[in-house]
Amino acid sequence: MSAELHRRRVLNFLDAFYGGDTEAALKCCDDDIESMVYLPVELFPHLGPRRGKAAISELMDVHDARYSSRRFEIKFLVVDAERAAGIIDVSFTKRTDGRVLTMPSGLFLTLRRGLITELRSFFDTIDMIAQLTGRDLVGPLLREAGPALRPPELPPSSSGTRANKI
Amino acid sequence: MTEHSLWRFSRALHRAINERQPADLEALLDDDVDWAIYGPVDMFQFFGSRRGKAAVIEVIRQIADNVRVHRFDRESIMLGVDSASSMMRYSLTALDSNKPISVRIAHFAQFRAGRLTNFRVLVDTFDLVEQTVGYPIHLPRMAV
Repeated sequence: MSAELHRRRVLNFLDAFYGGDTEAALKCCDDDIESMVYLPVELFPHLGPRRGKAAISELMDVHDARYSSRRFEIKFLVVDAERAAGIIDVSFTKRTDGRVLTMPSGLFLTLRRGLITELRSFFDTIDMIAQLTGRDLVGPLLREAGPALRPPELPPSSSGTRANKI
Repeated sequence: MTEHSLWRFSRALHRAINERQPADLEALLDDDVDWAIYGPVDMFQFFGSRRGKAAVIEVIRQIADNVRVHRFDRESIMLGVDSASSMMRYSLTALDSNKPISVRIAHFAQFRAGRLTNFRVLVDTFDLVEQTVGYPIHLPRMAV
């Protein structure tokens, strides 16, 4: 029963969060909600570990100021009586230039008595930053680093040495 | 009580990477498994999407050629009936440079009849790339 309640709560939260309905989003959250978005703080000073509904509200304000449209599509969601985890494809339309950013986001939530008490978001950070800034981050690194980081010239199915080791 | 498919998969995955023994893993993959590790494919050949058992075994071989897993700590785990997700901190060694790498990943797995049908992995790729090149990536000062 609580798993179904929590599934509805998570879906309601996502609808409100990406729909820009702050009041509805905050109704899904515990007063002491802990939130964390795993992104470089030097580029995203408004993110990082936060506590309380105000952090969610401020994040939504930032999104509203920067993006004219926000959408999400659930690709995977599992919910039980205490937690939820999912992967969603999100898209943001930038107000400044109209570019649409699309990326997968991993979500890990903890719920108690039907409210979200913890929200952690996770991204392919290189892709996200490259889309946000409009800059290729990896290409220059490959050129600077030389052959050790360049992709192999052989097709993936061919045998031979790997040029791009971690 | 039956063991969740995630645990069998996890053991087989790490055996395939560290011991180059993919047989156990192969037995746990659906023939049409849908697999994706999100990240820069031009830097890491084993990132990107794969489809089918043979393609996944090949990508595991590529991972085994590049890294050794020393340990992983599950920071969060969620088990469904036929699904699972975890957020983990992996400690790896890059085999070519012997460089230690610590990276956070999140994975999302779906199983059918005990076999993996869908696997999605998100990696903190910014952190991974900085550790790989060995210096901080310059970020532009701009409102994003």
